[in-house]
Amino acid sequence: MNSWESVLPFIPAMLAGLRYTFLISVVSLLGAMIIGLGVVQLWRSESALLRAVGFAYVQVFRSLSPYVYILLVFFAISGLTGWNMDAVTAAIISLTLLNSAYVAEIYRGALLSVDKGQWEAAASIGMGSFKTNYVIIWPQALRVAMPSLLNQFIVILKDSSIVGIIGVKDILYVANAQAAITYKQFEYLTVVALIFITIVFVLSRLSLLLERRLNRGQ
Amino acid sequence: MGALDFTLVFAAWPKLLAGLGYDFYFATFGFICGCAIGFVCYLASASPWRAVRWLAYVYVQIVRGMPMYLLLLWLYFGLASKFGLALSGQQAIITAIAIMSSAFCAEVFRSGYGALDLGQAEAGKALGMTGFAINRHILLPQVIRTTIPPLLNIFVICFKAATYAAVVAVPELVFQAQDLSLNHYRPFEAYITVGVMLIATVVTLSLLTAAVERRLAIP
Repeated sequence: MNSWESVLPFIPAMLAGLRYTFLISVVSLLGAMIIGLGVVQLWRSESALLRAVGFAYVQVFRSLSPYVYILLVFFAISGLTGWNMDAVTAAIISLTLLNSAYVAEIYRGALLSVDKGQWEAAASIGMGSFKTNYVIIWPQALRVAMPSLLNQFIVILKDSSIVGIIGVKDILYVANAQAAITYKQFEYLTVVALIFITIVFVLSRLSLLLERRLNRGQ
Repeated sequence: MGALDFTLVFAAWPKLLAGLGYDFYFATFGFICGCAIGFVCYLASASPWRAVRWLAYVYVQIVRGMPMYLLLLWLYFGLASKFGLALSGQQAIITAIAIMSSAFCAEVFRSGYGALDLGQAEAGKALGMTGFAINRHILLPQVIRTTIPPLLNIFVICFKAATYAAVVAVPELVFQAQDLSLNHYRPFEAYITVGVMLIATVVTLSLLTAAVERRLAIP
């Protein structure tokens, strides 16, 4: 019997594992987008101290692989506080913190792309700083940032495959468990790889399309 | 949970340093191989033959779509289970880093060559230089200069990825942290120490990269 045939019936179970992959990735991206707002605000601050804090935050939080992050959050924090953290929560916290640094970088690049003259124009019609940000600057910056944010989502999606080490039943965990029983690691892992490659390919085409579409309006 | 006690963790400093050394070794070796594969991959993507270009495109898409952790498991467990090709943990992590970074490197070389003025290659041709000589004497020296900073950034990515070696039981830094955490039940102290060591290393590397970038910038 072909050694791949026994893998086929198991594919639906693996695909069901994808819901954790997507849940963790989507929530982490949203969390990172919110924290990233705060970090980029530090960068734009008048105070040199706050700017230094923002810089240090990004340096520190992007310095570790997601693997080390998850171990730190799951084992170190629960060891310190005794909080028996749920694995999915730990995964979301780690990926959110890690990616908030990258998302802040994306925001910064996008904000730089907004013409400075718009601040002056807004000031000349009597708009305050908050309103200028909220009505004029950010909507344009977010539009520019969209393709990069989608690319970051792809990175998070790939990084999230590590969450199996703390017991989240994501696609790779499910496949690994079944592979360990049947000794068909090659077949199972190849199928997971094909699924990931397909998702990443589709999403990166989408990101490219989005970029072209947004550029067309300019 | 008692008070924090770092003595056991600090007493293990020779192991921790050796672990950091392992991470550097995997990152460096994997990165060098990745640059070589990436260069070949760039050459293939710029080839006049459509089939070769297509092959390079498919390779890059596959590598980009593979999570690092999955790639490592596939190399370590997958190949062994199907083909009996049992890589050691160290071989597996180095190969994984090489494959992962090759896609990034190919992209860096592509944009490095893309930034060059085409007229230079034509001028070389007009002087009767062969394609190889044009590459060796005109294009490559410039490409090396512009690609060093992004390549160093890729090295930093390789270093971060080297910590995955703990998954395949190589005694690198994160593995040492797991070991300390299990044997002495000091998870916080072990992981935070290792985390700080890794952060310090990566921050130093990124600052160095930024300094090199400023130094090499074409005015």
